[in-house]
Amino acid sequence: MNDLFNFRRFVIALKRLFFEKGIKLLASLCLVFSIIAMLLQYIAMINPREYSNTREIVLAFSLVLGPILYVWIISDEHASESKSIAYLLTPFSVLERWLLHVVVGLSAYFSLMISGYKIIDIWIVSGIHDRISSSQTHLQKAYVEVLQELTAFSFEPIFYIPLFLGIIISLTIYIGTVYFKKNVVFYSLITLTVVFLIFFGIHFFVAELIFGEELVFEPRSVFPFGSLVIKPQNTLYRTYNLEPIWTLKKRVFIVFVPIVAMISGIYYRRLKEKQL
Amino acid sequence: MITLQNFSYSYKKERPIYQDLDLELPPGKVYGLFGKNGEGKSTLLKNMVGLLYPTKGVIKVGNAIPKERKPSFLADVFMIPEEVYIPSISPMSFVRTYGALYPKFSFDHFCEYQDKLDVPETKNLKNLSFGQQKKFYIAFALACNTSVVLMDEPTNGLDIPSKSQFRKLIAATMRDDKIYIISTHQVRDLDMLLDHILIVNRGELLLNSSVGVITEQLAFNFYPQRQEHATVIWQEEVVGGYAVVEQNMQETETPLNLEQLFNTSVMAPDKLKEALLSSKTTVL
Repeated sequence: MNDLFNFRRFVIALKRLFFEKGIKLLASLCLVFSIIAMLLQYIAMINPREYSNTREIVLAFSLVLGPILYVWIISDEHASESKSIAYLLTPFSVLERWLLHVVVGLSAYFSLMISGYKIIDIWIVSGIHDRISSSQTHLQKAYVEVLQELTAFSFEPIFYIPLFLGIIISLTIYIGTVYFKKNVVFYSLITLTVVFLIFFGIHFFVAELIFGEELVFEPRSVFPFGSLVIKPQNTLYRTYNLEPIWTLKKRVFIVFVPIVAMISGIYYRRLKEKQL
Repeated sequence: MITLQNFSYSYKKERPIYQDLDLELPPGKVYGLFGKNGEGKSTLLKNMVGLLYPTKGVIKVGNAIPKERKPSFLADVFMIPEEVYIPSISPMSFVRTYGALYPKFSFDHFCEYQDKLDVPETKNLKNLSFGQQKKFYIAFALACNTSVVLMDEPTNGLDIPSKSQFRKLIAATMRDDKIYIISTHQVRDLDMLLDHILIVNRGELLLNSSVGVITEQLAFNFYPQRQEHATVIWQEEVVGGYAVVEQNMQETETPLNLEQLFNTSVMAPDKLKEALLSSKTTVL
């Protein structure tokens, strides 16, 4: 028997997930889609001019916060001792458990989420276009032009940031389920927030060591690998924005890919070492 | 064969539960594991299946190291915990999904055991009561035909007819290549079933002896008056007289009384040791 990975066993693991949690997972996705659809439709009805900006914000939040419930349902295997015993003694390898949660679970969520979002967006944008053509006379010309330019969403590199943040939050919850029995999501998110704050603090501390009083304390200066705002001492009012040499897309991948790899590696290790 | 070498385990460093325990459990027997509350019976079972890791020493089940939890090992052991977890699915989905993971699983055996334990038909396992869920789980565990089955309080929650059926099933499914370990406080449910007794107290193995040796060396008697003769190992006042454990000086054997044996091993371990030492098969 192959103790590392067996395709038949993996299919059974998938089947088990589908039988035991399929309905809950589907319900969690429906909940996220319902919230997105209601929010976007509301904006499109009330203030269509703002739709273009709103949908970007909604998508970012859906990617970052959307997977929380879904991931918690998938990884809820240690909520009680009897549940944990049943899970740990089921003859699956660590790699199969890890692949099922991290690769299959997360890729399923994000692909469904992005596809679903796109469908909702197409539906709402087409609705806006229909309304413009039927009520054009009541709208100012410029406003109509702006809305006519509105097309269904195409994903810009900027959305890799919420996507990666969503993956990091999901992986943190996975790890949290191995450590915490109750209030897993709460404790996991608190832990992640503390880690982020420490990183932000270290970044700002190093920047201050280098630039001293010239560093301007504002949100942009706090994010690691972002820009820094400085005000040289010989200038009175002028501030300078120091941008990294790499493009945003490159920075996102250089920073987030190792973090995701590291956290998923920690999850693998914790699954392997998990005791009751 | 389950082997423990220098096995130590502690939840907290300052209070070890087991220290340097050596134990060998050959197959073909039903072992009874007894001890007071919190003395480490469940801990020992959990270490044997890899749910907990020894803080020192090695545990081996056959050639496998439980703490590695390899699928090949997990497919050949089954643990029935005191409280079982049953997912909210249909019995057939459960059997099809989980049964496929155990190479020796027999659907026919499962149906037979389910009938014997009188598990009612249901569309969803969550609709069953605690005792019914446990019976379903026991039927499934035995149908998996794994080499090792560890049971922690298996008769808790079972009704009276099911306890009797449980005993019959254990006896009927026992084979020379199997090991059954039953940890329980319900001694009267199992006294006729066990082949070997293990008693743990404060991390120490007070008794590790086959039932044959125990009944050959010891007599479990009841007297209306207190006994003062030298063969008495331990006696305690019970309703209407004294329950006495004494050296067996007769040719005939008395039935094993697990409750008396347990009390003797805890209250008079040295005397019990002395009485059983005459048999070479006893390890204390």
